[in-house]
Amino acid sequence: MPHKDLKAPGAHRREVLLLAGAAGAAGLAGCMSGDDNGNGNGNNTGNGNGDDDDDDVSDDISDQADVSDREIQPDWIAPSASEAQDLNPLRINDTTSSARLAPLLDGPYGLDENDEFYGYWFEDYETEDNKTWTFHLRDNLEWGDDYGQMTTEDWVFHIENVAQNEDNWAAHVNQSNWDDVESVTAVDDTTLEIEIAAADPLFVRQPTFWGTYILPKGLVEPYFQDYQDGNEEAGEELNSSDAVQQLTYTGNLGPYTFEERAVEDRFVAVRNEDYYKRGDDEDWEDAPYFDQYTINILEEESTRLAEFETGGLSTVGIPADQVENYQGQDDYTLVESATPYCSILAFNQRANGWEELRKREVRRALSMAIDKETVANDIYRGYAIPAQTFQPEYSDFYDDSEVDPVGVGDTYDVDEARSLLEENLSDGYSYDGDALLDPDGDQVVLSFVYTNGSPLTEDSARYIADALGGLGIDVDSNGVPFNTMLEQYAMVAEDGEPQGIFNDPEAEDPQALSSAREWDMMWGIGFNTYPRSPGSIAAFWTASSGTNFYGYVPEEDLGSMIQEGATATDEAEQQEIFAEVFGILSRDLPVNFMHFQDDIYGYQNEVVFTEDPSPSWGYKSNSWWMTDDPHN
Amino acid sequence: MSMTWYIGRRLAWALLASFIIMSVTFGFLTASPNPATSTVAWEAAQEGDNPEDAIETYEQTRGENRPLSEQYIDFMVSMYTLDWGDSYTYDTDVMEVIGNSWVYSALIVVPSTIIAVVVGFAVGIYSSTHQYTKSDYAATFFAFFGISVPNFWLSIMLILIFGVMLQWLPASYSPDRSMAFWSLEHVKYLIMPIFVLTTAAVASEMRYARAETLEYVNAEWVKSARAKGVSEWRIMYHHIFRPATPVLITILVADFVGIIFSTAYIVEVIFGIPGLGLVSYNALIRMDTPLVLATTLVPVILAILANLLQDILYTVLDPRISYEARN
Repeated sequence: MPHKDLKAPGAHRREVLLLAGAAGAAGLAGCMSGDDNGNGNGNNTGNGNGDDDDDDVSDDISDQADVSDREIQPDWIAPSASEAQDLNPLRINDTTSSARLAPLLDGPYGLDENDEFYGYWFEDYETEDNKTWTFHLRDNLEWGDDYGQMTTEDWVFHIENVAQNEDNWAAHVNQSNWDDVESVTAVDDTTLEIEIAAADPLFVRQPTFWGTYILPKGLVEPYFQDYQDGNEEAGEELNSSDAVQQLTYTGNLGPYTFEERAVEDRFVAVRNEDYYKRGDDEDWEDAPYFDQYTINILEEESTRLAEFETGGLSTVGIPADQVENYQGQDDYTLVESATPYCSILAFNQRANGWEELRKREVRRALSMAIDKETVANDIYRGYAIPAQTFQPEYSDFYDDSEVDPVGVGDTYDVDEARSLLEENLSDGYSYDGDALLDPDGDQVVLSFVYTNGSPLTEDSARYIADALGGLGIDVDSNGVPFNTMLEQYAMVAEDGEPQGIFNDPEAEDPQALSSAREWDMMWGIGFNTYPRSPGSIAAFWTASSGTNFYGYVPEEDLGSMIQEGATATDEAEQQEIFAEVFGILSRDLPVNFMHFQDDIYGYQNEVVFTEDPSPSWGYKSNSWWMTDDPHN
Repeated sequence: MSMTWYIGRRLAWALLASFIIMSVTFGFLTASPNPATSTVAWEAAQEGDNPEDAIETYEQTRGENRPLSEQYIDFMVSMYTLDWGDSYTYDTDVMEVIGNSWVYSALIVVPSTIIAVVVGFAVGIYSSTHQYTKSDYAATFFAFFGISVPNFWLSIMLILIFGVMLQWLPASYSPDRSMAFWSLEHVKYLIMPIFVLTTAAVASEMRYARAETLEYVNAEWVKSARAKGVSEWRIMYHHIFRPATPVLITILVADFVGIIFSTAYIVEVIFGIPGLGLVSYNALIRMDTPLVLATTLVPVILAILANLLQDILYTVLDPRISYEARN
């Protein structure tokens, strides 16, 4: 299972763009779906995600306390389900670890509720041709130890010698983000010019820059020299250095300063007296508004929720099936935050999948027999929105007129699905009463693998299996851990041995490949749909894409279309191209796009927010405050 | 045979036993697929990167790209020179991690063991000397309840009742850092975990003590002592409990090791106590090889030492048992 973990707002800027997870694995699902289980407060969340329903979760957060009452409270306490895997910013690509760095390092910039640039280390940017981008660094940024001011030299050194180093000597985990950057120039100490390979009007929203943490040049350079002198362990030595492990380099670059890490217990940071952003505007006037920022490690979900209820935590992620326990209670504020993760039911079109799944009409028939609204409303308690293509409806690139829905309203139709199967299955398939028989006269049995460990995922897997039973198909279900699913069912295998890749980009035909174990349908994976910069979806929907473990071969040249859309300089043209791509995907149904879940966060009622709920929820979390201390 | 020679031979056996156990554990770990590699590969694939390169980089950072024989020799040498290397997860010395975590385990295991022994033995003996009375039935019921109730479930129930509903005790182990480690306030955080551990242990001690001492309740020497007018307390202690002690000691050692490395794992995970159990559990989940092996070695050493202690106590408590016989 991927470590999607508890996503404390503000702790996952990179992950929102980069990671996809097991649907339900995080147990934080929810949505803005206009559920009907309300407690009657009827607030419009005004969340800017295009969904102005009357749900009752993001309640009253616009009814804020008076800023003049604001004072600094002792503690902000957030939970974590596990220890950080790493503290080296070059090696971090998991949410849990990022959450430790977030209070100490702001990062270059964020994206606000309208997906617009929100300045942290970089104040501003400009571009004339969408190819050359100029970023302006603040002049009051100071590294810790004796590394001096953060200047554009630090960035140039990082990009050229760490992020783009061919040997990857420092084991940087996100090197590919920098593939499209052709050159980087320090115009002066605070002006950085970046040229990318092809014009991209959405570059500022790409994960290349805005989720990046760097280390000071003064710290890294000696290790780099060592490496060039032949010390292959230099990257490891940098990783083990006190500066990296004790986080002494962070200076005034974040609202807090590292204090203590008690293994498997807690991570403690204290208020940074020199925080560079303090006084930026009213929200940041005296930020941060807590003397201490603590991450408390609690493995068990029930323990985390109990600790939250007894005032031991400032916030907690709440699974959809637990939301009812917190609704309408004065002690808590619940906030829903849309995510870009689409839960998919994958159809195996590879050599060891059911061959009929290679037909678009068969995939449509199977999708038509599953009621997405039942999954979203009944199993996910109304905290998920049915999906129709690989893009949420709030995306600028989603065009309703292009999308061909299935599995909702009239398009959930078991009888029509059965007819569709009868018309399109190969010769020899037939119905005997309610049972679909194969050419040998046996009932069709499809093997269905899903991730176990999450009640929501398991419940929906049972529903899916049952729904397909309505088509006369016998479903052989098998719940497995996420990693087993990846390795045994998704990875390419030869002679039963997984090869470490999910698709072979060199292979002429992805449908000629197979996995270690046979499967027909897979459930429990959520893909990032990149609604801010959908050019990144090329990693999913072309025949040669690295994630194409389902063996999808599009009839149209989706790769070229995505490339064209990503580089179109006109925004309207971009939207048109991507809308067409998403229309094709909704008809092709390489997978059944099931639903989008939202995260649901619970907060102590004393918390006062400085932003509205949105897919970017938490981008200003370090300017939040509390009217009182709920922890003592 | 002298006691020194006896202990020496036992220690030599301990070294051999630990060598075998560590080698087998190393073998199992290296043969097991590392769940993190498939996740790393998956994340790389989603970013349009090469998954194989990502796995290679990951293994490089953990030294797993070296030949297996080299990894094995390095590991065994470091184990026996007590240079146990760095944990991958914490990027810090494994000894330091263990050094920090054992205290938390001791905080719950030691009190619960003491309580279990005192209460378990006392009630067990009382129960055996008052067989088929109401108090015997009550003790038996408690014993079966304690053995049967799942620790996981009991922990959650205690948290809900005493932590959330009544709010008498903290819902998890999360004391304020300013709190004195040795303070009554700190004890509040330990009550529920200790209770869970004790419930399981006291029940088994009670049953064992009852069964073992029953053997002596109607012994000739007990009848004889009673006939001589010896007090009931003296009979219970001298004539019933003492002859049963060697066997009970054996059970105690097994229970002690069992409590630390099975029940304590669950309790530490649920209550969030950063002890050896939690550290070891997470090391296994994350395939943190140095830490897994080190945390495996600790129970091995403890078990071996406990066995040694048990054998020595045998000879002390029952002079009829000689060193030669033990060999």
